[in-house]
Amino acid sequence: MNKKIFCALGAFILAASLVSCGKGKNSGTQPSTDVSTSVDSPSTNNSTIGSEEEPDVVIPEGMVAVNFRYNYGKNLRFKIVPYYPGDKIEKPSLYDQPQRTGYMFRGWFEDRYCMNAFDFDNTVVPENGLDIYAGWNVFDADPLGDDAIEDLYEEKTYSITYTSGPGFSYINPNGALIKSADAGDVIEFKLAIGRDYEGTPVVTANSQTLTETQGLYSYTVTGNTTFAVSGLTKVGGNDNNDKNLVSWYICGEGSLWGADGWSISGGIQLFENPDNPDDKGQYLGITFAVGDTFKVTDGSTWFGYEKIDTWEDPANAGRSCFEGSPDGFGGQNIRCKVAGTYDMYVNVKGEFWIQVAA
Amino acid sequence: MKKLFKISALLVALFALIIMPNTSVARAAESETEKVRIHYCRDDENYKNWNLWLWAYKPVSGEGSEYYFTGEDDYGVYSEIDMKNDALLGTSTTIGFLVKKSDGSNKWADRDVVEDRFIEIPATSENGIYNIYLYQGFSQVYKTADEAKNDKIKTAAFSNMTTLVVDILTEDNITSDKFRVYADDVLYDNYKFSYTKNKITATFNEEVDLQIAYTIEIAFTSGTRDMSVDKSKLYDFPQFYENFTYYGDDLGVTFSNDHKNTTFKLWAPLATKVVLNLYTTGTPKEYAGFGDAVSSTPSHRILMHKEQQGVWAHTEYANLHGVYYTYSVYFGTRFNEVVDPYAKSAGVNGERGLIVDFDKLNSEIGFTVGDRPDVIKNATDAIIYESHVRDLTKDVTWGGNPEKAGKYLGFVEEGTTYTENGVTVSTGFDHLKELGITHVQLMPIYDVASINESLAEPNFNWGYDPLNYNVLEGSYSSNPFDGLVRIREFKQMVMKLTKAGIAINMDVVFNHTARSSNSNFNMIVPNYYHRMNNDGTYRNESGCGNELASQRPMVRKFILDSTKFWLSEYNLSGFRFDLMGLIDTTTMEQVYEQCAEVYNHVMVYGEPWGGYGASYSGYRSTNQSTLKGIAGVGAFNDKIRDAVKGGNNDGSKGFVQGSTGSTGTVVNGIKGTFDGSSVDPTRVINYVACHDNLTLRDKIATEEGVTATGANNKEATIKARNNQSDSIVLLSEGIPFIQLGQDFLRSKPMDPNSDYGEANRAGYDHNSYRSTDYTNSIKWNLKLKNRDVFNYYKDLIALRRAHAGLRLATNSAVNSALSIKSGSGTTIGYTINYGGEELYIIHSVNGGNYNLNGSYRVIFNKNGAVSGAASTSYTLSANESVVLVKA
Repeated sequence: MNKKIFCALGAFILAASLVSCGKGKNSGTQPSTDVSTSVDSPSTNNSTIGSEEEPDVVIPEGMVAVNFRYNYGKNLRFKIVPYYPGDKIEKPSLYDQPQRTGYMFRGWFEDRYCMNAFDFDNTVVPENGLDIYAGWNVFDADPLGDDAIEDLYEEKTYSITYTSGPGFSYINPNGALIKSADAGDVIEFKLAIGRDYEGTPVVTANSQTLTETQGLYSYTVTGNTTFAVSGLTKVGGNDNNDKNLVSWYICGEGSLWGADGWSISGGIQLFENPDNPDDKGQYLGITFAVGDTFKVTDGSTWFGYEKIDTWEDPANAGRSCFEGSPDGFGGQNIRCKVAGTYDMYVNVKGEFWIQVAA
Repeated sequence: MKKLFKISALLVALFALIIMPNTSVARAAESETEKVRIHYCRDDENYKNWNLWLWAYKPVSGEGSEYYFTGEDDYGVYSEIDMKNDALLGTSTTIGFLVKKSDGSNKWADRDVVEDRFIEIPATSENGIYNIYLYQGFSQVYKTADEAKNDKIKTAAFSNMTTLVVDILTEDNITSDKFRVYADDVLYDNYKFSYTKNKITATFNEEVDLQIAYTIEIAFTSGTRDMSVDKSKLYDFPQFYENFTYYGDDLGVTFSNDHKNTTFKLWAPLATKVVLNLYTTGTPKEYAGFGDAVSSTPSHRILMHKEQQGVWAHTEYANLHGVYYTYSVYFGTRFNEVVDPYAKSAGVNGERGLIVDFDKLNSEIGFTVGDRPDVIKNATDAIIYESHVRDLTKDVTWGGNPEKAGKYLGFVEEGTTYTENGVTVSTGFDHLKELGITHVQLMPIYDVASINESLAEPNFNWGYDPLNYNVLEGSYSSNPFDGLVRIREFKQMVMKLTKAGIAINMDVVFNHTARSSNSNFNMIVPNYYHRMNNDGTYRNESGCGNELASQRPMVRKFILDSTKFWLSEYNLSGFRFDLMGLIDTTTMEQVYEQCAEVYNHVMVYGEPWGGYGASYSGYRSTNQSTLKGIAGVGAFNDKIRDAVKGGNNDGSKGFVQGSTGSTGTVVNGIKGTFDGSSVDPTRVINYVACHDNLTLRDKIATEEGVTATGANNKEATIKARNNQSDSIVLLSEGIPFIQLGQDFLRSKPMDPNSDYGEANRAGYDHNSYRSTDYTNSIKWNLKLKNRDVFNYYKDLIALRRAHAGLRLATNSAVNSALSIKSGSGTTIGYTINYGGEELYIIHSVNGGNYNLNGSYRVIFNKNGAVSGAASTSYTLSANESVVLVKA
């Protein structure tokens, strides 16, 4: 075939393909790019062109490398060109451009994030060489699809594990926690300790205790490493916020409740009693008004006035500040007759101990 | 020639293949979407009074409206929206919807699926009609009728650490062989299966592993369906708390010590994958034409890695100051693209977060962290002036640079005045300086959902509608498309206020979020950040759609981290918590403690209401009663507010109108208490009016029968009562608070050309949250007209600042120094003996002679600061307050 016609044919096909590639940006079902909807991501397709390997270039002595990087995937180098420091850099020709499946090359940039176009006219090669980054416009790739995701995690020889536990977190002051390292690498971290915890932390690396300097722990890797922390204890919280919820509720009518007071969703959920986890639950600091009426329930079993503890202890306000009431839901309700703030405990048998809150 | 012909034929064939790939396949014609059809099916086929509430969501959110089901087909009923001609929705690319039922005048008698749902409208659809299908009780939006009507899974969730419950809709009898559980995509069978009609229960033989993503799969006769298992009911179990509470202070974006590396951390404990999306601009494609370079796609998408305790992390070895970002948070194959809740700035309308190196920015503009005005020793030294950034300078009477009107830079423009008939008054910033207040309390300056920043003239809103908590609102900046501009301009505002000796308290709204199910919080950790009812609906004591679950560890941490950031980075001096009653006491106390570590004179206070009261649904409310049990946090004194001037929006009377029933309550407030005994006066905010409800002047006018549009023949009475109201506030122990403009009789008349606003019977707007500038902006001609009132306030503030006995910090000091001489009826008199002087203060409603039982000389009366001769009695006018000092 005549060369000229072949080239023309090739150019035509290329031009036609650029115009005609079927799917416009908005055709078919496409994942949302906005923050409002939850969408399915397309299936993974990791095939790419161009970024699988780097050219084999030897940099002569006295010269440095100018690296033209793909700037996606593993950010490999598309071209490596030796220059002398101080040289101007020749802009690659239009026919010498990197390729990327589903993307169009848009130029060369100073930085990986394509904030500044590379100035070939005025930039000279520095002493250590430099990197120049390709910029890309999405063409028919899915910009939020798996193909576009770069996994930059670098796997090294040894794994580094951070054993977590309640009350603390590990913090690397220089970035994310290092999860993989080579022999001789130094791992540094601090500990962030929760407000609700106290004690002197004991930090170990493979059971070897580490000492800290100004809060920083440091360890030189020799093999797989596991960090662990012990020695912290939780400070007791005295209010309900530090306890676990149980499935029992105080439901009733009066100052504390709305229209749906007698339904569980309108009730006050009890908390576990940390001293007696078998108890039905407790609530500290409920302010009752005179006339407030209630029972305790898990939705199927109801405990009322018949369950008020009869133990004659001055601290037990159950019998003196509360009384039985036939009114309201199901009768046998407990009604407040002395307004105040109370702590309520419901034991494993459903018996109430109510005392004036501290 | 033959060869050329063959080649040409080849070309034509190739052209056909490339250009017209679809002509060989028969398919329905796709054309530009012109209609959206929303189909709805109910089991009982009774659609009476069911309708839709639709609103524009993207690119610009808008108000909603009712739409009706007007068509019927085999599926059920449908509503059709003409996207070409619909005035409300026609330009939308995403619309929001709710299915609801009306019942007479109650337009919201019921809802089918309570959360907001959304339809993203494709540019093209079959025959130009985009159909979506809804099924009663199911939140999913289906694309076909078959899918919607067939067997389906409603919910799959763990109800506790060993029980998985799956609700389905099917006629099949589901046996164990048709049900599968997968743990991280690996078949899992360590459970007992049981089935009752439409409910599968799988009781695990071991506790759920919270680190694993579980999915279930059911082989219905009609096909296999699957669903991810919801773990949100496990959030309050100790296992979740212990595994997924993160204590680091580095969530969001941080820089290494040398600022060369940028680290991203997101707490997303239930996500199966998180991807960091980096953008070169903050302007999504929907805003093309509105400004700046538009970028529809990320320049990089980077896989983050699970670090610890539910945190995902990634470090870029570069300083990414100025780069925009979002996260894609995956739950199996589904994902949400969200703005980081910890983002410190954002592009237009908060669509994308912005990475900010504050060290770099601060050095560019000369901002010094920690350089805040130290104007108080105790909180009682503060005089708080509630101000809205836009209100201060929006009206033409402000007289400043019109380009800065309503903006951060306008707030601190100097040299602005208003002149009329040869008389000039200072306006704006100069007015603040002249008045003598110590603190401005800025109404919301974080990124507000309901203000459209992309408009040349953004709509007004108070801003109690938080979108991005750690980002400044863009509409108050000169360029909302560049997230760095708002920071620079607000910091310049802070610097100027600091130089003027005016501190800043920030209004914060941690009781609710603007969005519920589609908030960034919920899209990262579903149902964690909000308090939920047992039936899956959002608790809504805030009245704004939801409540933040402040008692949960990571919500509390967010509130602590956010307040610390604002206080430290912007040199603020305190916080006013909106609806503080919805925030638990532990969180509030920790906020105070943490803030006090940053700035020892910090003020932390709030509205001690919201919610049912002391104890509800797993948290202890922060109110006037529970304040006693925690340190440092203050609260507004609504008791003195109502006692002094009467109810907020009606014509009821208070002390200044001659009611005697509330005099005792006024006396309690004068002593710096809520109810006679409580916390120290450093924690009691005394006030008579704020942004909510009527202005003080309008309330007094209403009680006097003076309407917004009628003649005012009660001017003298209104002034006297206005002045006396704030005399009580400023001459009481506790912390005084005044609303912007109250010092020159600010009024909020209804705008006759607007549908917004809520009128009381006298035609004043008592809820101007989205009313126009006509209602809200400060009219500086009023200051000129009422400059006698302004001068009165100025003198009153100067007097308070000059006499330490009015600013005692403890109840014991007050009890020692303050003595009530008359505290009932229509006259209140008291002495304050402190610091070597004795003040005698009298508030008289009806006027008359008052016996002082000693020799005193007047230093303040209805004319302001005066100097009088010594006397043993004083004759007051009606509604006069006086201050005398022992001779």
